[in-house]
Amino acid sequence: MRRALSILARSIGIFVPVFLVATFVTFALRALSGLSPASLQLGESATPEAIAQIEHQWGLDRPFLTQYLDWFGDMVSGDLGKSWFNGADISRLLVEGAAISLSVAGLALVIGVVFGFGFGVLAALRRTTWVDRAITGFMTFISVMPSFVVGIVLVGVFAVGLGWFPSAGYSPADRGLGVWLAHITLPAIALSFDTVSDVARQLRAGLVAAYRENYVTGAVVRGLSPRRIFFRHVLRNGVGPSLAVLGLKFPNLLGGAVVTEAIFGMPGFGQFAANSAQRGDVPAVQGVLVVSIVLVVVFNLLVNLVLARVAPASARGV
Amino acid sequence: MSRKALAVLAAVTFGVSACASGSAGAAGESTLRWAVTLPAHWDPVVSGSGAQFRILSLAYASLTEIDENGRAVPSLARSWDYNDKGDQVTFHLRPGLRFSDGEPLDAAAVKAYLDRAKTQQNSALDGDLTSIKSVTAQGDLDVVVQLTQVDHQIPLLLGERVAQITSPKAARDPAALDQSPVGAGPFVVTELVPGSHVYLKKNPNYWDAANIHIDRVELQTAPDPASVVSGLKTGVYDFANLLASQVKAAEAAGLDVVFQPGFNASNISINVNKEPFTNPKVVDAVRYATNRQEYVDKITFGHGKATDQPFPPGYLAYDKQSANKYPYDAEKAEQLLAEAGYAPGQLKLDLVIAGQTYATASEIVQSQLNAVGFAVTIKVNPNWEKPFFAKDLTLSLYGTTGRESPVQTLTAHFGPNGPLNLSTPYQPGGFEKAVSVARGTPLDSPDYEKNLQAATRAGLESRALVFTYSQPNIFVKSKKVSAITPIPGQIHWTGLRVEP
Repeated sequence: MRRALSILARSIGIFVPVFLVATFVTFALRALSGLSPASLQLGESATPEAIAQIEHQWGLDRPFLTQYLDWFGDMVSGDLGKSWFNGADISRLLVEGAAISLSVAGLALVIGVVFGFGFGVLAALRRTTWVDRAITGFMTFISVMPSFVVGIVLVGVFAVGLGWFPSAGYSPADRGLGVWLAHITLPAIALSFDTVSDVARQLRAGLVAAYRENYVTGAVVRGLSPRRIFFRHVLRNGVGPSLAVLGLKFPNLLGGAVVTEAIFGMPGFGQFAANSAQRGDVPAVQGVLVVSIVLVVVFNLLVNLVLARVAPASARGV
Repeated sequence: MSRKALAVLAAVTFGVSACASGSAGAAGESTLRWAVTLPAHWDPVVSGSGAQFRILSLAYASLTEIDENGRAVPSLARSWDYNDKGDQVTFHLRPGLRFSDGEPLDAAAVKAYLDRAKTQQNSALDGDLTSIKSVTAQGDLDVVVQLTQVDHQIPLLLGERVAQITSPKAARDPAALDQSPVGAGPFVVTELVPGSHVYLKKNPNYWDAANIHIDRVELQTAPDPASVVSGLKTGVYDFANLLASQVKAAEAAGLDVVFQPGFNASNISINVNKEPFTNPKVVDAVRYATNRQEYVDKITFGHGKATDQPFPPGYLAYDKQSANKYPYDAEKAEQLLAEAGYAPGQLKLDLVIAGQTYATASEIVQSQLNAVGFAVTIKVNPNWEKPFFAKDLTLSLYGTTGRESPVQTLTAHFGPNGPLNLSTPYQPGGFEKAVSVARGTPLDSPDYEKNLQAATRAGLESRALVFTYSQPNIFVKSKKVSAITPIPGQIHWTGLRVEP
């Protein structure tokens, strides 16, 4: 428990300065880029007077620090401001989008963990056999396939060809669990390939290394059952790197969502981030940044906690 | 162990796929699912972009409409008449009209809308309404529009683009209206999540509800262009906007590709108030260097048309006399540039564009101009609107989706304050007079077309614009959706059917 608390405290100690610097830099980027809500809002009536007026309305003629502190104060209370593009409440849009992206990323993570662990364990148990070689080869193969290629192939085969899944769109879970799963399955598979292969390869390497340790030989000599050796001695010591990889994968899943969501026509967090950035909708991009930082930090915290529980040695060197 | 997990996962996955085809609509309901770039604004006063009015027309009805030939026909207004002089027009509304919030749609509501369009700070329409001096409500049904000049274009002007009437009650809070539309259109919004989806249901109080055969419309944010066709093929969408590059794929998939006529025209915008275009020879060099067929081939994939006017050939305002006045002639362009005193590669120019939409066109301009001796560099400016509409750029690209009123199209391009005239306050000599004659010609006069074309001819003297190509509005639909009435630039929901 004390260990968990200290990890928590240390993580927050890292989180706060990162958060401050990151938000400050994005804010400064707006000032440097000269992006203006006028471009988005005025269109053909963007006369210089109208632009000045819009910028005044959004408070962009105030000193930079005042703007930043105001925004920061609102942000802490959960208000991320209004989009320059359509005047909508950004917090609301982010919650709507995050629900979609987290559904996909969550399922991709589940697929990644299940298949990654499955293949990794299988390869380690049958190390140096043709099974191991086949799995390692296959993992290398899928690790280099970008999710947008996989996505288009999956749509071609399973949606257009076989008609098992809808090819695009999203349906929230409250409209029916089955329909919801049907919509997120293909994007989640497309997104998960990278995670599956990385987790499997790390796990295989970790387990194979653990099997070579003297304590495993000792356990074998003492006549312990292979099952007990695997779960008690090998898995626990060999799983560390793959858990750490999992922590790194989560931001990738969110990042990968930008492309996958475009292909599957899902109005998620990634699409929102990409569109906002392309439009130059600065408050929306800042909102995306805040939520991304929070999500990534929280997920890494979870991984660190699990890691500390499974492999206490890892807590020493965070 | 892993085998068991695999089996469970497979069972879940395939079990799920069985119910994949479930749709949200109730059984027997006719639903149109449209994959589209969702509009940022739902208040027609601030919407501003041509393509968005098409979507807003689901929720809003306009004072007039146009028919297949581009003529003004009744909508909320049953009829209209001009005074003898032509500087006052009275619209007679249909009786008993109501907005979806229950407010009456009467003469006072139309007046409130037009006043708001003229005065609201962020109005994108005020520039279109300069002909309107004042609006008065006469009784419940008569809207009297006083004009600043003789202008017979008003019934065309007050169509889909400029007069999608909003509820005056809802418009008291324009910011709220912009997020949730309240009109008297064929459909009523039931759910709207910006950037995600919009659901609408049929409005039983729409004036022409008897001819609306769709119960429900679902707007979904459009996926990547490469996924649009598979989305329609698998029935996720019924209807979508289509890139020219996807036409072949859509046809191969057995879908209906619809080339909806339009007024679209793209141009090269030139600022004649800035060097080097203060020299008419340099402008002529650009005119002769432009090979329009290349735009048609590379941007519209052969589905568009070359045009040297602000609308496609065949449009009633298209002036045949001016057609092909500056045919592609690279040698002549080179020679003109030399006459203007520039050696090849000496004239360095920035072509400033808004972004992705103009990427291919900008590369064509660059290669064609550089081939005759310019040295063009492409600059992408995410804040493009700012310098463009402040008329600060020297060379840029823009286009129009068109306007129902041809005179409005002409003044927007060639008028001294036209938003598409990068050379404000420059206007070609004789344009003002010619356009005033066209404006003063009644729409049913035998001289209308002739006067209109004369105004086009005068406008085309402008050195500020070189028109390049016109692309039709391309849509793709599944066989479930009935044929779309070919109204130029618009989509009419009347008569459209979708098999449930």
